[in-house]
Amino acid sequence: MVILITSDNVKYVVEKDVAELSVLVKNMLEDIGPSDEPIPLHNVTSTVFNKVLEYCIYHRNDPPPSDDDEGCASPLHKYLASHICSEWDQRFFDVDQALLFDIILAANYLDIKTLLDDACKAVAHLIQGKSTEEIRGIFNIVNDFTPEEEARVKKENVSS
Amino acid sequence: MRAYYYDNLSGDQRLPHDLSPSRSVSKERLQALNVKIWTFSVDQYEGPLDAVAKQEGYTDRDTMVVSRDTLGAAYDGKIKFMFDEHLHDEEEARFIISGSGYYDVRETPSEEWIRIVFGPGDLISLPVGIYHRLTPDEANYIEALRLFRKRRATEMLETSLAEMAQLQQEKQEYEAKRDQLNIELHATEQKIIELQSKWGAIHNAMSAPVLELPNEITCMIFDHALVLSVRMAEDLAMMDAEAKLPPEMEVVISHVCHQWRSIALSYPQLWSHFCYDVMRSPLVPLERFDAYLDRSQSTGLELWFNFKGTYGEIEGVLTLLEKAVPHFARWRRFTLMADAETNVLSVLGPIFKKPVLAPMLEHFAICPSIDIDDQEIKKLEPMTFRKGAPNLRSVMLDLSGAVTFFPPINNLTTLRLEDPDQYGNARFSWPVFRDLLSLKSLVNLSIMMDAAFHKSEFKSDKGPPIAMDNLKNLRIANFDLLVMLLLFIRAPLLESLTMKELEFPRNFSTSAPGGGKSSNSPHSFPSIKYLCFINIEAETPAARHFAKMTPNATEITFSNGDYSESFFHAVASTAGAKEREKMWPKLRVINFNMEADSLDELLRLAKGRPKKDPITLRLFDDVNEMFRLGDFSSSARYEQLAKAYHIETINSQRNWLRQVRWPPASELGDVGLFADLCDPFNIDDYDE
Repeated sequence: MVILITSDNVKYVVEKDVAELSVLVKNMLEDIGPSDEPIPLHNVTSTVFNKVLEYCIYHRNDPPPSDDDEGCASPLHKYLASHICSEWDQRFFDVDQALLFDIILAANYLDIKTLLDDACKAVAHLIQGKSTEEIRGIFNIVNDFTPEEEARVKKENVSS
Repeated sequence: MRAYYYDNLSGDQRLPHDLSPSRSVSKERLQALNVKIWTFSVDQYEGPLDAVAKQEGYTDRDTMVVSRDTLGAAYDGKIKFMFDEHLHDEEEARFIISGSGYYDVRETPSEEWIRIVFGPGDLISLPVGIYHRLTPDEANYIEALRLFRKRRATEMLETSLAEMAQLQQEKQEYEAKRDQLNIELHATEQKIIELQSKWGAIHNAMSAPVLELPNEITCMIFDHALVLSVRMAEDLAMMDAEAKLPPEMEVVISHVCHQWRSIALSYPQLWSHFCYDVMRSPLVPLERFDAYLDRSQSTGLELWFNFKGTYGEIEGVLTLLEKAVPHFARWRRFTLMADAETNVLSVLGPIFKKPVLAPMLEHFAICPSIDIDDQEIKKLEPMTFRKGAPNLRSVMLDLSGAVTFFPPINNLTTLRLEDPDQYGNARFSWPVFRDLLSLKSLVNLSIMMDAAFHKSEFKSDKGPPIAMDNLKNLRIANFDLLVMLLLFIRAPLLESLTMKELEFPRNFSTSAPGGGKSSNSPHSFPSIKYLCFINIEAETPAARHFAKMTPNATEITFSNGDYSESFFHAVASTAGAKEREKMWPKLRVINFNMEADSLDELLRLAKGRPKKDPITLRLFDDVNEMFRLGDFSSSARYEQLAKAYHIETINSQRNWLRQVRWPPASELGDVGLFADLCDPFNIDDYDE
């Protein structure tokens, strides 16, 4: 068992194999050796960590991701490697944007590659096939192009 | 001629309206008003009139008649109109030829009407600007000559020129004003954009949390969005080849806001794949391609060009190709389809003359449909990338591509020699083709070529069998000797075999390589699980022989336009039940796409198989309906069929048989971006 403490001082007792899905936690455990000391997670609140934990418990037995062509995978490789989200994942990521982004940041901080990847995919699903205007609407973004950028964008729109 | 003051009484204008006693007006009084009056003899007026006309400068004349006879119903309106007080900017001169009436002129400054009585022979001239009116008398008839001064041409010209100059000047003033406004408008618009930009930046920083994600995570999201949108486009194209596809995700993303644009433009991978299909967009996106080449920096490029159907845009597509060529060192995947009319050789030729290296190239597909001479490929030396393509795994060539662009193949796992619309007569020499087949690394091989290799050289080959130790997937089509090739090759790992448009030679079951006789137990492909027959003809002995060679098949697709000659018919008409049971004892699935005119053979094929665990029979939904309700089978027959098989239906609207993804489970095929390009091995729904 591993003891983890979130930034808002909530204590979690987690099974080791689940906790070690986080590379950050895994490395810390290796550094400090066997110990009952709780591990502080400075950048994660309990609200977000609840979700992270739910994901890690559900996916604890998944085969580890391969790092084969990390960083250089072409769009087509990614295309073929991408699997359709499972129903569980779809439901899991059906949360408001703020929480979804917090999950992404937590996954990034805790270094949980599959969660980070799946959460990014969930965001990508939001914008898939959408127009520029629609995407702005989805994320509450407004046009803030400088006059030079605006001119370029207009030109690209005509020529494409 | 006589003149007097008008009595100003109402009543018919044509009456004299003379006061009683009459107040006459003298000729002198009229002259003071510049009203001139001459009287000529009606019989001899021409001479005197001409003299006066000359003196007064009346150069033109015409005749007018005011009478009830000529005007008819319009007469009353006309004389009423003439009697309305009016004035002119030129003299009004009238010579009365016959008839009679009154001219009323307004005296100044008394404002009184003076009535002038006129009759035949009178010439009356009213000055410019005098108020006057006119009426016939009760005789209702006036015939008069109207006399005019013609304005001099130079005078007119001067007036016109002055007027034009005036108009021109006014126009120029307005143009200058417009230009000024345009400058102001532009400046205003710029200002608005500037303010929007500043306002937007604060808004986005404050209320768009997605923009707070670290850049590398935003890039991950872009990657996924790109992949998803390609998948979506593929789905759309699959459903409807003419479907309008959404704009490229990478472009959309870079148009959302300042931050996303900056991230996108400095993320080379986002711009590393470019797909252009002339049939989908006739406008060649040259500028966009320039931007992609620039933004992708040094990353490997994935380029898909389909120029098939380029009519009239040849120059544009060749320019596109010209832009791609200098980047060959970072081609990762390169696919080019073209018609003979698009002479791609003119653009690609120069780079392949020099020995060059393609360090990143993984997939090279080139089907240029160039007209080629009758010739034979006698060696396998590369004609492109002669310094090597160490990562090249997948190659697809049509006949002209093979003759003109043959690449280095040392590490090849997938080779497609496919030319469904072959024109030329080129072929491989048999020893060269044998070498090609012997390529150790080959996992997937697809051959669709008429006369792919030299026939008699093949027939007299007495060499050992060809070992294809790693081959897993094989497709052959359009050349019957390819069937005989199956007797030559040993492929212990071969899993799937697809055949299209072939006829099993009559001597298939009795032949052996090198002209020898076959034994009763031929060599087999022990790993073949999947067989697909598309328009394959065979006779029963050949079919049985082939079944012996593929004893472990679990799934077979039969797709034939013509039933009676089909491979399926040859199998099902095998006489003995025992014999049939021995064919493919492990068979689990039949995909059946044929216009069968009877269910008997399907039923016969199922006979003797275990009833508990029937073979799955997959049919197109409409074919299934035809079987169920059709004329040629009673419902009882269908019941039997449903008992003998586990029937599944295929949605003919979304024909999965058509979605040939070949090689299966490979990352190297041309799937995805070119999904709507038909695979030449695809299967049609025969009921379409």
